[in-house]
Amino acid sequence: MRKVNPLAAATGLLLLISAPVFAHHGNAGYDMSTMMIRKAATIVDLEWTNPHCQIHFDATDDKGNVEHWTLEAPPPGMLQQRNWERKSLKAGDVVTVYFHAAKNGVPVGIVQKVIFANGDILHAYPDPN
Amino acid sequence: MRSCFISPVVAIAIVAAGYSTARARAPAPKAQAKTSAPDISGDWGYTEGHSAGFTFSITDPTGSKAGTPEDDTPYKPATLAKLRAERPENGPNATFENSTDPRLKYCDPIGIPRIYLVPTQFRILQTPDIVYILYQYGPTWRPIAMNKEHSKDPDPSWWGESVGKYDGDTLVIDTIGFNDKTWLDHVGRSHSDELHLVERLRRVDRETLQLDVTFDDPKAYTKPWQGRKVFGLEHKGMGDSYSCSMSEYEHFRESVIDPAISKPAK
Repeated sequence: MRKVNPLAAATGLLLLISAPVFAHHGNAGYDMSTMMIRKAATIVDLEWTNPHCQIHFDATDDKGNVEHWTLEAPPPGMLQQRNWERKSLKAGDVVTVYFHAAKNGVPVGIVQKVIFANGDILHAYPDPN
Repeated sequence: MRSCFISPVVAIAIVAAGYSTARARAPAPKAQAKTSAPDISGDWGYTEGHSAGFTFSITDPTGSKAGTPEDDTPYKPATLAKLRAERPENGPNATFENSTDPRLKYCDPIGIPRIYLVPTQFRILQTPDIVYILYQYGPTWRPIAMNKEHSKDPDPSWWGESVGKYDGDTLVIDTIGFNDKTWLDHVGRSHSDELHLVERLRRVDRETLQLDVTFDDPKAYTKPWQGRKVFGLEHKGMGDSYSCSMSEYEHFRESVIDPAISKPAK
């Protein structure tokens, strides 16, 4: 995983702040107004596929139940432009995940970014305003 | 900016090699002959500060007005009715399910100019006779025959027949011979087989490429109309290609789309 220069990242985010999240099928199924956060999420798999990569992880909810989440991410070529690699997330990695969840409450969504224990950040999409 | 054609042999070799060289940066242009052609070569995309949007509209890049009374696109009535009947993934009638978008429904080629709306990269290679545009999406390569006339009656095709010329600092690409199966943008604007598309690509500065598009389609629109996109120079090389695969799409649909559109459990 490549480290992110905080200053460069901050500058990039400032420039990208108004960029819309592009999902090839649109975002109508997701609650884009609410950012979900799952700390201590355990990665199960990163599928490096078109039309979207998929991140699978387990996380414990407020009631102590383990949820299995599936999040869509940009396709490989777009993730590469944002410093991701196929092995950026490996099974067993424990990370914090920011995402927008489906409106209907099922554990699927669209990832925004992943923060690693050492503070490194990988953005799937630019942060919103 | 003056140009710098690369050798046709080099260009053709790169094209023939497909995208196996894609992770490498575009080869540095080798001066072969001094010409007055502008240098627009390089890898271009929606770098930081540039946004893809969902349409070519300058005033409504996200297409939020598409098909509404505020939309000033000069539709003919049937074209407007067709737009309103579509189920696009973006725009005022965005849907998450049962999209009528041909590139999702059938993996149809995305076509021109819509391919520019996908936030992937494209590489421009200039030779004296042909300008090649290699799109990461597809991947698709497109030859622009320079200083040639169109065929008399080109057969309709997904990508049409493109010829090009330089107009000062601008590459002007003139394309006809389309079929009518592609959408012009992500909100579902259609076109007919009489579409005459003019792309004007101009390097505003070293890091910036501007695309101005004119849509002239007398069968579908009452008058020509324009759009614009601005791209940044990519310095990381092109990433993995985006290939449309129905099997991968089905897997994605089953994993994400279907659960997201299912009725909530009571």
